[in-house]
Amino acid sequence: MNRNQNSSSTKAGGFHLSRRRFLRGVGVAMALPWLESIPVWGAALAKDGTPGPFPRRFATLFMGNGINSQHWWAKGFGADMELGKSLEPMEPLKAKMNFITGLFNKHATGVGIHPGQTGNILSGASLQKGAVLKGDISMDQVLANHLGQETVQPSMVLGCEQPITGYHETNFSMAYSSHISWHDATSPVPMEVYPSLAFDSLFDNRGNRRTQSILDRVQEQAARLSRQVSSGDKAKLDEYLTSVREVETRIERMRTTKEKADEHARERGRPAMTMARPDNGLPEDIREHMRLMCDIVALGFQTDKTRVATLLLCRDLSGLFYPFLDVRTAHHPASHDDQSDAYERVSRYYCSQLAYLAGRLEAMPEGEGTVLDNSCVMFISNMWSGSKHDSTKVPIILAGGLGGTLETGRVLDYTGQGDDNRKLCSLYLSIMDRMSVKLDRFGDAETRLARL
Amino acid sequence: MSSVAEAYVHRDKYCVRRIIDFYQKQPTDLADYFMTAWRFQHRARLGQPKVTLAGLAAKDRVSSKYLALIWSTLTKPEGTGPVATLQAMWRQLPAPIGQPSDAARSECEGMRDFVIGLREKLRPAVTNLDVHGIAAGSQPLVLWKDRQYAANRGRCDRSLLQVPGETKAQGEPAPGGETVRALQVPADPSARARYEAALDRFCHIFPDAFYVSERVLVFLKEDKESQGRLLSAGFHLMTGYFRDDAPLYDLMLDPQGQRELDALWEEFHFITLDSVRQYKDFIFFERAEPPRFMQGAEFDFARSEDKDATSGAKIEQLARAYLAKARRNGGEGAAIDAIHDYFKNISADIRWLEQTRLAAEPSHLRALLTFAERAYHRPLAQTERDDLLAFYQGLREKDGLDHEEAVRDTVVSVLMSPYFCYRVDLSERVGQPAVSRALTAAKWKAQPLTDYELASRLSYFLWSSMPDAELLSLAKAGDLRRRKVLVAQTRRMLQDDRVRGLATEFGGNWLDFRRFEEHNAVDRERFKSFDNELRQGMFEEPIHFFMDVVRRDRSVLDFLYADYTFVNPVLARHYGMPEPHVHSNDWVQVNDAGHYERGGLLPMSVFLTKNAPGLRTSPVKRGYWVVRRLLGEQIPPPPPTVPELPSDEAKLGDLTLREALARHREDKSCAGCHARFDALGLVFEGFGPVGERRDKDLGGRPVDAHATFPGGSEGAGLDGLRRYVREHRQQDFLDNLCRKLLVYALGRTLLLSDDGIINDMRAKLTANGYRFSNLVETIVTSRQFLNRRDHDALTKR
Repeated sequence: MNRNQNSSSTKAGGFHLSRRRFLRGVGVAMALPWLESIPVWGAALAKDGTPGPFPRRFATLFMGNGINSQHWWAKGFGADMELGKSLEPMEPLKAKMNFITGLFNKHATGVGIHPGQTGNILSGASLQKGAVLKGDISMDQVLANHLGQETVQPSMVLGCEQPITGYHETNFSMAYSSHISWHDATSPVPMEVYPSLAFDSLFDNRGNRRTQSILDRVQEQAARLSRQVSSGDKAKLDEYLTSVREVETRIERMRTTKEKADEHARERGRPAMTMARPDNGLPEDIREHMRLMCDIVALGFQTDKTRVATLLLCRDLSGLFYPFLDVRTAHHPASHDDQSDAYERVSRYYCSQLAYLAGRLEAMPEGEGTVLDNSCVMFISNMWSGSKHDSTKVPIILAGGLGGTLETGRVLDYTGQGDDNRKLCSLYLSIMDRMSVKLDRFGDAETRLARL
Repeated sequence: MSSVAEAYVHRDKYCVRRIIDFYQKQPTDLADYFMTAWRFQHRARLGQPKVTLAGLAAKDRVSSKYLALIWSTLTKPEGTGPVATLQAMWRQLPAPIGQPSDAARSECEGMRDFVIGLREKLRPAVTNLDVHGIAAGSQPLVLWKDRQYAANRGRCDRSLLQVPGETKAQGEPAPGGETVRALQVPADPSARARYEAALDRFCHIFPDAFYVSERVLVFLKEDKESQGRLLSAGFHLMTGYFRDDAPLYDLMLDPQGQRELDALWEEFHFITLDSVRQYKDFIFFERAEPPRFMQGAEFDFARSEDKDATSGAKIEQLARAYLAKARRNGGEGAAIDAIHDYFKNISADIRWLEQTRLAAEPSHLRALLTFAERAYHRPLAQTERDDLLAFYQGLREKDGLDHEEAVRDTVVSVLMSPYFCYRVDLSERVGQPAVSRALTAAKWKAQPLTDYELASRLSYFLWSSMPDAELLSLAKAGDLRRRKVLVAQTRRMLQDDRVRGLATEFGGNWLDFRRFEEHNAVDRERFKSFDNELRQGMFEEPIHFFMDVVRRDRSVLDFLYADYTFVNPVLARHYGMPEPHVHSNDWVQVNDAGHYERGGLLPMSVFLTKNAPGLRTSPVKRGYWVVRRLLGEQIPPPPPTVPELPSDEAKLGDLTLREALARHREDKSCAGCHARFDALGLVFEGFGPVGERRDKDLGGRPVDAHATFPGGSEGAGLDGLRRYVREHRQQDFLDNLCRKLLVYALGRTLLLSDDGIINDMRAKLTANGYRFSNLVETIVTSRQFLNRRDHDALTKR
């Protein structure tokens, strides 16, 4: 048996991959953990007994078509902050949030309404019209690229509404209305809309069972082969089997780590959040859909399976219905009457999703604080006003303190401060800094956001 | 994870691109057809009296089928109408005299412009269907309009026709021009009828478009902004595609082209599930977007999130409710038909998709087996085939995966299999119990390779890749081991582009640059010109050189003494050569490389850079590389107590590197080895840490490339080294090359019994001008290459 002469390298997309690395790569493609996960829940302590350092996490919750601006306001500071009606769900958490207004994305203005205002919300890119999709890498994926190797999943990109791909009359593809997370200039990140599959991507479930089936098969082949080859060749096969076993060990380690961590948490009287695997298929009630997705993000953060999550609650030009809010029209038409009571209820409902997720994270102790204290959940929409399709500023709420690096309980208004001083991408630079990803520039910004 | 809902952005892109590419490579420029017809007309004068119309079509790359139609259109007498006008233009084309074609070409373009200009005026208009409460951009109405346009491609609109002297509502057309004359019809009814029939023929022969690759929002009066919506149906917001290429299909494509285009569209639908997505978008749009035709309780059952939303029954139910409301809103006639057709068609499309996907599963499994055979580079034993399919079935039945997931996992298992990761040259014994093997292999015994094993060994030797179809078919026929066939195949393979595999894998490992693409020891602050592009260029240079030696069957001594090399623009800049005016990835041969102190392997910057530790050169490493890699000298590793030289030339103090080395050699324990290679590295001192030519080192001291070689001869620079090698070490180089190549070909270390073949290789080289092919042909026809050594011998080695 000869080692493949070219087996030391395989040309793939301009990169040379060794077979060994390829084997690992296959493991990753099968949703395997890359590295052992760190049991941070239940107040894990470092060896010398001091808490942390705890990982910092970042999540985006996106809502399409803007909010009811009449009721979307905040005044004051900390515990004395006053909130507009649509923000009431955040009342218990207002000391841990920042209300930000006046920021915008220059390339999302003056290009026509809807998709052109959306596909670049996290990248600041100038989007291309027609059939060829072109934007740029979004900040969540920049974070994933830098932090992703620490966790089971570099990032989670989830959605509660199916994407569409037709064309808007502005000649932008509707794909821009459905995708805010981008791998690079041409590839939107596939968005997981099935809660069950999102859950599987994080936990020891179907994915690992599938991996095990494959590992069993190739080990069986190797064993059969091993009986037929010389001892010299057996050494070569051993090298191969070691690679396979590494994959297997990672599965095993992940399992035992979780068991240990669960036990640890039980002993301290702080059981880890548990969640049954959601049913297959799409939930038929949007409330359940959003709740499951928020739970999965919370669980992913608590167990440090991922540190970056992007959840499209609804797309731009959304067709979701809210009979439970007594709103008769679908989301997008409802946004055309954005000063109405009905759309206020819609806006408040979306704010309550932020409150729900932030609340879950707040209920998870971590060190002296909570998971929320080590996280930042950004709520954002692509417009300020759906009736005017106004993206000259967008609504933003940041919940969580990013491990003490982000002061909370503030209202930050950048309106009228000059376009160079109110860039969304400046905010992203500032957030990424606090996640230890320091860039000179991102999107259209080269400066950090002042006062954050 | 199979998130079925997603990745459609990418699937669409891929499939749409394939169809667009097919369209764009079709010859649809009418001027080309007129021109080819003209060449046929004047075939005798153009020196091709016997050429046929079809022959000319092939030569000019136009559709033979459409050319025949054009030819008869131009030559069959036509009394009236635009075809007659076109024939008049045709007859006036200049005959070929002297430089033939330019004048005729521009006249042919004039004919084309006449056809296109007139054709535009004869295109029938289509007005929107209108049903109260249904958006103009909704699917049934837009698709109806798309179908009308498609059906009208070969039809004639007569509304602009005019009897001369009569005025029409929109006023007199501007006087003059063939187009205007063509729109003038005779007043006499029977003449007019003849004229209109001629117009119809004209419109049929010259459709207003052969295919439509982009579509605007077809329901809008004007939509000049929308561009680049490839194959789009023209809906508002919704996913949807529409095929409109009947003129191309009917008039131009031969049966093979028709099959190809049909297959592209079928695969498009199959891969992207566009009909399912389109229908779900329909439900979203009609429920959510203004004017929200599907509001009201009777539509509540239709939700795109329901699992059975696209079932035949559900679609039918929605069709009934939708049609009922359309009728209530006053819809009638064509509009009702359009809605009815919509539901009927989309349901049929979705059923087709379901059935086709199901029916395709067995062929996917066959493809899986073929794929495994390719991956394992040999036919599978029946037990292996059964085993693979059983694995797939198990995944579906036990693990509950769907077809796509199960196929994906099976593919992964093939790619993780030891049979893919390693070349297992014992195919015919797979499945036999190990005991019988042990009995037959009690003693060393040469076993002839099977034909497939031989194909595999040959292919991995010369291409670093699996055998191609030709090798496999020869293996299957049992012909490959015939010496004549084997040599012929070897020659064929050495001419193939895939010989890059040999250059990269053998050359890269022999000369130790295989990992240079990952080389990061260069201080990019100090050497600003060194970027990834230059690094890639350096890496490629020996590969291009090696491939050239192989393909032109040059002397292997060119590796040492050649006065030529290969550069791309970035490398040329680095070498101070005139920059070739080619694309940045294109390589050109430079024949006076000596002028720039380059040529052959020795002064290639990849080796000079790889063997320099960043901020200084390393005569030690460079010399060691020459004697070890090129001359095959074995030198033991240095003792662990060696003092380090400073890492930066600028920090050597008063000593030059040469002096520091000389001091090093004073140490007896070092001298024994260093004397064998330092000199061969010092000659490169005229090249800096990234292989750039230089007069001064980084400390500002003038460089000195003079050396005293082992044995006492002296020389300086590249020429000095070459002279030394030619006079004293050439045999070492040849011997080393023979051994390295044989080791690579056999995939094992050499034994004493291999000396015979080494001697053969050397003798053939010397007798035949040192041509590279001598090495390969000697190897592939050797006993060692055609046989496998059996287990025991291997275990003892």
